[in-house]
Amino acid sequence: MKNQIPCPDCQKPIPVDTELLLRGHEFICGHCGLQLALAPTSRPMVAGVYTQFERLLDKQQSHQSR
Amino acid sequence: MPDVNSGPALVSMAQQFTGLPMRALIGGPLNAAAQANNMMAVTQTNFMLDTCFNKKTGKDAAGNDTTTLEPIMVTMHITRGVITESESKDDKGQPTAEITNVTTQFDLPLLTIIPLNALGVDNVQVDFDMEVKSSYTDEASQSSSESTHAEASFDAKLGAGWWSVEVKGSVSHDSQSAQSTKSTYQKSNNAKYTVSVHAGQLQLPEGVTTIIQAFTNSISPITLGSSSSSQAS
Repeated sequence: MKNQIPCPDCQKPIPVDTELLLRGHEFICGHCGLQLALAPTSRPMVAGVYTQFERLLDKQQSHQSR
Repeated sequence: MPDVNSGPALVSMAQQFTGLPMRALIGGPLNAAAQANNMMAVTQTNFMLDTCFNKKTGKDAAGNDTTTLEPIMVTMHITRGVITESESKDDKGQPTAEITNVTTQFDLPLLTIIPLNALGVDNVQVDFDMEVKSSYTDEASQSSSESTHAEASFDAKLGAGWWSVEVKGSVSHDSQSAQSTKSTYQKSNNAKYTVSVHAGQLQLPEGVTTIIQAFTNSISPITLGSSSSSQAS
């Protein structure tokens, strides 16, 4: 699922996929070339919240399809 | 012969559409979508408060209960190349430049990397087709038939002695006449009415955007160090 994080250096938006971020992927700022990644220490916490978020999303989609 | 103008009038299409509860037909689904969006906004807010913030309760100076929400931060690593002077020197005795990757870490609020705006009705389309048909048929048929038949006969016999005569005769008459009249006329009309309503995705609430922007603006990278003595700019 895509999201945008402003580049800490040049403030331009960096498109970020949270799932890929959790898998350890790095995202590169298209403007200044900065590489952005999630620290391994934060991955379990983000993964837990993201799982809850996906459940919420599934619930919403099943509600919409009804 | 039937007269088209004298037949019963066809239904008025305009009247049919005027009587429709258009507000309910179009507004109903949109209202339901808006309510669903509202429910999802509440769910979204609760989710955000429950998962992206640490709730701390305490008491203020007056002794009243207070609740403070502190954002949960996640650590991000950023890497960028920095041009530094190396210890080696070129032919002219000038120090050579090299690009060194510097890794920096900074803390980011968790809520900025969870794509909360995906929770929303992104498309609502109401297709309403109504077809009104009106038709009138008049058929008149007339048929008459007449038939007459008449028949008469006679028989006479005369005779005396050695002679005799016998006379027989008959008369008949048939008459038949038929008449048929048939006339048909038909008139019809129909109308179709289509309404399409489209509603797009709602953006994040302004308050959430402001919170995210405030956190974003307060991001201050902390240099971890690098393989060389260089520092992040």
